[in-house]
Amino acid sequence: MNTPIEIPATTQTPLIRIEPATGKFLMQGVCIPEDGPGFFGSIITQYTESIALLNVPGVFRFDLKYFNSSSLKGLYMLLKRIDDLSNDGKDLRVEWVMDKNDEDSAGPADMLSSMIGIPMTLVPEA
Amino acid sequence: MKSMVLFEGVLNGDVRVNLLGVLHSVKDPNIRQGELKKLCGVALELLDNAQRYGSGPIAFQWNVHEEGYCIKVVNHASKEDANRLVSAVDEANKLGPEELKAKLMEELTNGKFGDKGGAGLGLLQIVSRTKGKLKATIHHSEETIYRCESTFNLKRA
Repeated sequence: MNTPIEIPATTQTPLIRIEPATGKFLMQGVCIPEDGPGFFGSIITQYTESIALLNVPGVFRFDLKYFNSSSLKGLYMLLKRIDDLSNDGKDLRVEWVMDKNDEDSAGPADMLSSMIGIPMTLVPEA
Repeated sequence: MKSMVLFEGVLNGDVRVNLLGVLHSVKDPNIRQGELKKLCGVALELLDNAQRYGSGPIAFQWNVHEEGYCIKVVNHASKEDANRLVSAVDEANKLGPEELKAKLMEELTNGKFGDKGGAGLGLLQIVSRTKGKLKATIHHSEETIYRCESTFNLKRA
């Protein structure tokens, strides 16, 4: 049940990597799916099921080069779910990787964090 | 320095990705990377709208010139979707910064997508983030089809 999940990146969707044993969740790349509701519906389900299995703290890293407005709404829904599960007693943390070429890249993280009330650690791009 | 990208044809996911790749590769010393990313974001939202609500081929134009930037998308859509585009642009342009922020929050947190998968955020984000001018015009071209022209203009800072 603790099998890692890896969904490779495409030209329109990010890499998704879930490691229940270590609690690491990664979303990395570009996120401009044609079917935003379908893509995020599936991701929210995967994340929710994996969080339920966690025996260690969960760390959710978002390393997105760019995303469209439909994905912003999907990210809001996903982060809201993470926050809800955190409030239910799970130890969950969120990291947001900043684009070193974009001085505004912390903007969406700040907005989502303040709206949902979930703390986010801003991480400089490697 | 001037640059121009033109595309005419059927818009699908691959075309959208390839167009964005071309736009991201624009090498203009007068455009900061952050600025370029914002402009690409505008193009992406306009293309998303054209793909989501349009039918048939589209025309896309990206024009960087001495005075500023112009991004234009022309597509065909139903009367209902064409009218909705004009209403949404008019409404976004009328809102002040605080009203725009409130409207963005409202759309972001309503927990639902539109019938065609839209988030209701794209045009609001363009107006809110860029402070550029967004304009939409529609023309009745066939019995039930409208020609929609969405144009974004931004002067150089």
